Amino acid sequence: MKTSYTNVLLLTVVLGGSTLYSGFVQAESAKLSADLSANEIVTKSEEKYDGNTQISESSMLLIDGAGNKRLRKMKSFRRDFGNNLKDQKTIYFFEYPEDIKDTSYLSFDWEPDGVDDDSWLYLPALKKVKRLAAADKSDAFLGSDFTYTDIKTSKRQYWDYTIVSATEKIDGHECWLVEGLPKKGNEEKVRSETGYSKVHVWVRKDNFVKVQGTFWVLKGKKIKYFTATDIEEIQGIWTARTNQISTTKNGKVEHTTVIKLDKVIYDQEIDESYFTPQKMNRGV
Amino acid sequence: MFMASTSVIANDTEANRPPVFDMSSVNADVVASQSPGNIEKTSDGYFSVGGFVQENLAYSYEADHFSFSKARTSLDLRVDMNFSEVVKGKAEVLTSYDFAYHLEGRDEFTKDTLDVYESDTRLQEAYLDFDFASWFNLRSGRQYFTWGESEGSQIGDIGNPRDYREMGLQEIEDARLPVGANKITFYGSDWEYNIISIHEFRPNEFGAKGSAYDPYISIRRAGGNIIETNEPDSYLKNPEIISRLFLSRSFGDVSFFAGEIYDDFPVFAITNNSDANSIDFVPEYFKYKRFGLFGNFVSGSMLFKYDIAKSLDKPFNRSGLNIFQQVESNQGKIFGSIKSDLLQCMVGFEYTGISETLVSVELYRESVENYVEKIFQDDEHSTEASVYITRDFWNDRLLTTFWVNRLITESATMFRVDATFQVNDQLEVSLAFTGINSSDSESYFFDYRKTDRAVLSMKYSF
Repeated sequence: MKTSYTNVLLLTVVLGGSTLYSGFVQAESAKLSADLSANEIVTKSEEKYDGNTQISESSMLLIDGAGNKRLRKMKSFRRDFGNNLKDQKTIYFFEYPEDIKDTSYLSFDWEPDGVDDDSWLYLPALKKVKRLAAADKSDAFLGSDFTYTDIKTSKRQYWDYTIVSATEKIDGHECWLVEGLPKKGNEEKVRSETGYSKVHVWVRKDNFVKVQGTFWVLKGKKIKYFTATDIEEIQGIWTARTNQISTTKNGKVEHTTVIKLDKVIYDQEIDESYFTPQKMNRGV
Repeated sequence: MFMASTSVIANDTEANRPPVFDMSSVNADVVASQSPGNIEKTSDGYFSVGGFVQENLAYSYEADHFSFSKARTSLDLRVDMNFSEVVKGKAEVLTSYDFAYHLEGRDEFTKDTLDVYESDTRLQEAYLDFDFASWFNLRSGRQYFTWGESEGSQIGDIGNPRDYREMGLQEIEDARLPVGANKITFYGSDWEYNIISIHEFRPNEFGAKGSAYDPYISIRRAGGNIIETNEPDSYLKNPEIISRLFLSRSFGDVSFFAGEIYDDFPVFAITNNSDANSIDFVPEYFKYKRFGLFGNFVSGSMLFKYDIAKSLDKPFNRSGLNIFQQVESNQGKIFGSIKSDLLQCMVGFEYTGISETLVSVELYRESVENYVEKIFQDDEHSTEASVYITRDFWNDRLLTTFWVNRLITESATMFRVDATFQVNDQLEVSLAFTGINSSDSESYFFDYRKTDRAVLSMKYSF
């Protein structure tokens, strides 16, 4: 597959499978609480411990509206940095299919607002590590249904949250349904940066894992549906092993992306040399 | 295969929620396709085999003859070897055969054309990697270095020659040629230092005599006779040496480089062959020193890039007028080349703020120092501008690129437009239009203005 510089930014959090939407996976056991506000629910969901490092192998399936499938397999390494371990460095290596094998992507995700992320891409066909400028945040990652907004550190300050329902049940688990609307006074910026006009998320009450989401997309008036399944506790961290997102228009599915976490290890020491542009053309 | 979600919110939006897809059957398919023949575990490690088969068909719609100018089948085989944590290796072979010459009639073509284009087998990369420590690597064998920020111009990209058998209009990934070298690399957290000795002399490859891409059409037309190339002697004792320091910062990356290298473009030694009443041109290659820097800095959706180099005592061809004057003066030895310094500079930017689109613009300028009018074949100053745009569609199923390079000083334009469609994980189909436009009869590129063509390609990777 010919790959351009715009289409190979990988799913940092999603490929790890453990921190989709910055905190879908949780580490501590949570108690049911009827008194939490919407903001508190989202904060607890996104601030839970997800491991200071993560090594994972994932499969990503792209399915178009006609049912045609394309499969990607990759290995990823993540390490938290900075004073509060809020900054993240992640590197990905594609292993399948053959025409993108050895492609790698490196990303430094800086937590402070206003600080651009740093990213590099290695394309084996060009034999070159290339520094990248920030893409349109509503652009798709590697042709998937996840966008840059979806995979980067969540900006909770962009949204006003309210609890729509406290009695939802997803796969037998009690959930809150939280609605997010662009923050008053900042609507234009939020819509422009995220590409969304409204979001709904379902958060499990027992472990604060986000198990479902609905996103109203401005461009093309589409709706995206997110589902997290195969949720299990790995090394004490709640992990959604399968994440699916589908893009629909007028009720019809245009495209679906399914990411399955085949293997994951948390908190194993990863040498800092892994997170350098120099590592990218040396491979995993 | 599909499992239903169990949300109890009943509204129109949630009623359209798609069912969850079962991945287990898909993963089983992938495992089955990776047959034992593809990946073997040896007692010391792993090796994997991969590659592709590709068919390229070209139609030269401006040519007066040989319109179906390519029907080439290529096979690429690659072996990746993982002997241990310290030692890895890679070997890649590319072989191809172009049926177009057989279909047209092989007698219609010169021997040089058939040798260059009809069939070809070459060793691509072939090296061993030694990772003695996380901060030190030795790579020994045929390899790429791929320096520089410029996509088209070779300013900082001084290690690898290029394939100009089609004037550089093929896909850019096929343009660079690997060379045999030993590369030592020291790594830090945000820096890298390379020192490389290149032991294989490998200049740029050019079009064949008598072909549409013959680089010496104008010389032959003037009666010049191109003699076999004079290449440097044994290279083991006389390697090219290049070195680079790479630094990475939050605002961008920068590299400083230097080297003593052979010019990948030849200059000519000239002989007045009075017996044959011809002027003989012998391509020769000389070493010179080059140093410079390249890098980028990033601001939001903009990446600014630069590539600057100075060459010392670089050889240049003398002009045809100067050679003719030397011949006429019967001065004995005829000087075909002259040395001078050269300054090259590229500045440009890349913008990714438009959805699914990258726009790259580069401006290139070079200046020959100590220039003497009518002695140098090259112009004192040359300017080029290039635009490269790429856009994806349908979740990356379709990738389109547009590249145009305006050689302002030469009054010529080169272009390539292509679209690649990903049929499935293994198969892709692409259609490309390439060509050169020039209306200035004094331009070097005027002789190549009828090489425009359409190329259909099918590639199966395994």
